[in-house]
Amino acid sequence: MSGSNDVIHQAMRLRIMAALNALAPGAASIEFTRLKSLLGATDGNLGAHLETLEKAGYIAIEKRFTDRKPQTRVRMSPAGRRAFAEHVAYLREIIEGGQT
Amino acid sequence: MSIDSREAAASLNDIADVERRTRRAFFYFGSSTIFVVWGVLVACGYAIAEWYPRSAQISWLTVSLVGCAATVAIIALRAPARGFGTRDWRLVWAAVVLIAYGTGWAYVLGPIIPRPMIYAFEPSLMMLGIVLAGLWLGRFFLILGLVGAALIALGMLQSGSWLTLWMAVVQSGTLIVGGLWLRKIGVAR
Repeated sequence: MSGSNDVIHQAMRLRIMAALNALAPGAASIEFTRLKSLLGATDGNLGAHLETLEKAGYIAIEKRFTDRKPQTRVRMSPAGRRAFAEHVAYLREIIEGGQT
Repeated sequence: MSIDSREAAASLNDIADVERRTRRAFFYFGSSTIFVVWGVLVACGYAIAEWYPRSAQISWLTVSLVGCAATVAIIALRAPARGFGTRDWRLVWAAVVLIAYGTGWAYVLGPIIPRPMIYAFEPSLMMLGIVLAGLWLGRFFLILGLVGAALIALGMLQSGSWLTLWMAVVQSGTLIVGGLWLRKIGVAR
C-alpha cells in the first residue's frame, strides 16, 4: 500500500485536485474564478493552495490576457494526475482494509 | 499523517461530490451553445412561417433537421476534450427522437387540428424534453421547462391574433435566455 500524500490530502487541495481530475487528461484547463466558484473558496485561500500544488509539480498555472483582461487558468499535470490516482487508491485501501 | 477509515470515506465522498459538480458545470456550458442555436433556429422558423406561410411545413422540417445536425456536431466537437460518456449520447438521442416525434405528428396533424393547438404542440414537446432532462441534469432545466410550458399554455388560451408572435418569443426566448444562463453558471474549458 502506498502512503498518504500530505500535499493532496488537505481538504481544499483535495477538492482542487478532484475538480481538475474531472477534466479530460491533457486537454482541459479551468479558469481561476470558475474554479473558485465551483469550490466555494476565496481568492486568497485558493491562490495559496494552488501555489502549494504548483510547487509540488501537480498543477500548471498559466496567466494570459483575453480581450485585454488578465486570465489565470489552471491545469493538472501528468504527475498530479498520477499522484491523485494513487492517493484515491490509498483512501480506498484504508476503507477496504479498515487500516488507519 | 494517519488517516482512519471514517476520514477516508469522507474524503472520497468529497471527491465524488466535487467531480460531479465539475462535470455538471462543463455540461451546462456545453449545453448553452445547443440551447442558443435552437433558439435562433426556432425564431427563424417562426419568421419564415409568418412571412411565407406556404413554406411553413418545409421550413419547420428544415429547422428540425438543421437543429439535430448542429446538436450532434457541437457535442462531437466537444467530446474529445471532455471524454463524452454514454449517458450524454443517450440524452442527445432522446432529444432527437422527441423532436422527430413532434415534427412527424405536427406534419400529419397540421392541416386538421385548430391553429392554436398545433402552434402550441411542438413548443410544449420541447419544454417537456427540457423538463425530463432536468430529472437527470438538475433543477435549472426543470424550472426552465416548466416556466416555458406554462407560458405556452397561457399563450394558447389568451394570445388570440398574437399567437404566432407569442410562441416565437416564448419558445425561442426561453431557449436563448436559458442558454445564456447556462453559459453564465457553467464552466468553459
